[in-house]
Amino acid sequence: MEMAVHDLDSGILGINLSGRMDIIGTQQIDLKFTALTATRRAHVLVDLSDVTFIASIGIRTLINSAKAQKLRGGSVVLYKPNQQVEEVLLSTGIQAIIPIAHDIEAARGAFGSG
Amino acid sequence: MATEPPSQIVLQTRLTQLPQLEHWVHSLAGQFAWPPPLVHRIDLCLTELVTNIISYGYPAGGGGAISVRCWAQAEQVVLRIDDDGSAFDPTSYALPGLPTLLADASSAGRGIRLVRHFSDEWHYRRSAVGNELTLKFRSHRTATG
Repeated sequence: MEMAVHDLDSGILGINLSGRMDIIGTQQIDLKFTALTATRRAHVLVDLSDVTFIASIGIRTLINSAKAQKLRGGSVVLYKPNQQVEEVLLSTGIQAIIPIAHDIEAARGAFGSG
Repeated sequence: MATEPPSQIVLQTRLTQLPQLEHWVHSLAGQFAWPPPLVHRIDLCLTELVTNIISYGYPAGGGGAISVRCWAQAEQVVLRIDDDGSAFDPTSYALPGLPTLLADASSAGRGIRLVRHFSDEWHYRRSAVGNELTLKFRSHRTATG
C-alpha cells in the first residue's frame, strides 16, 4: 500500500491511501498512518478512492485512528470508497461510528459528527 | 460436490503467502469468467479465513499447511479450506452486536462477520487431521444481506 499526505483548506488533513488494505498492505502503512492520524488533534479526511480492497485488519486501523482522534477532540471522515470497499465497510456497521462521505461538502459537514 | 477434479493451492502458514492466494483466486476468475462481484466476495472471504488460520491457528509455532480447493460449478463456486492447526469453528462463533459508539467498537469477530455476509453457505467439520471449512458462493446474487 501507499500513502500520501496533504493539507486541505479549513485545517483538514488529507490522507490518500492506495492499494490493497489486507494484513500485508495495512502493515505497510499502519505505523505512519497512526502517527499522522492519532498523535495530534486534527480533522482527518481519509481518501479511500484508490483503495482496491479492504479486509477486517484495515477496518481496525481506520477505527483505531478515529478513536484516538475522538479522544483528542478531532475526527475522521472516510472519503469516496469504491463500491466494493464501501460494501465491506457497511457490512461491519462502521458508518454508524465513522462518517463516510462522497463529496467534499458532505465531508466538511461530517467532521465532528462521528 | 462436483466430480471434476478441483483446482487447488497449498500454502505455508506465513502471511507472505497471501499474495499467492490472491493470484490464485484471480487466475480462477479468469479461467471461469467469474463476474467481478463474485471474485471480490471469494477473495475477501479466503483472505479473512486464511489470515486467521495463519495468525491464530498455530499458537505453539512451527506452522503447518493450508490447502484451498475450488470446484467451479455452473450456479455456484464451492471452496474448501483444510488446515492442520488448532480446532476452530468460525461458523459457531458468537458475533458481538454492531457498534453504535466509536468508543465501544471492538475488532473481535469482524473478519468472521465479513465471511458470513459475503458467502452464501458455510460448513465446518473437525476431522482427525484438522479443520475443514466448506464455503459456497452463488454465482449471481440479487442482493447482499
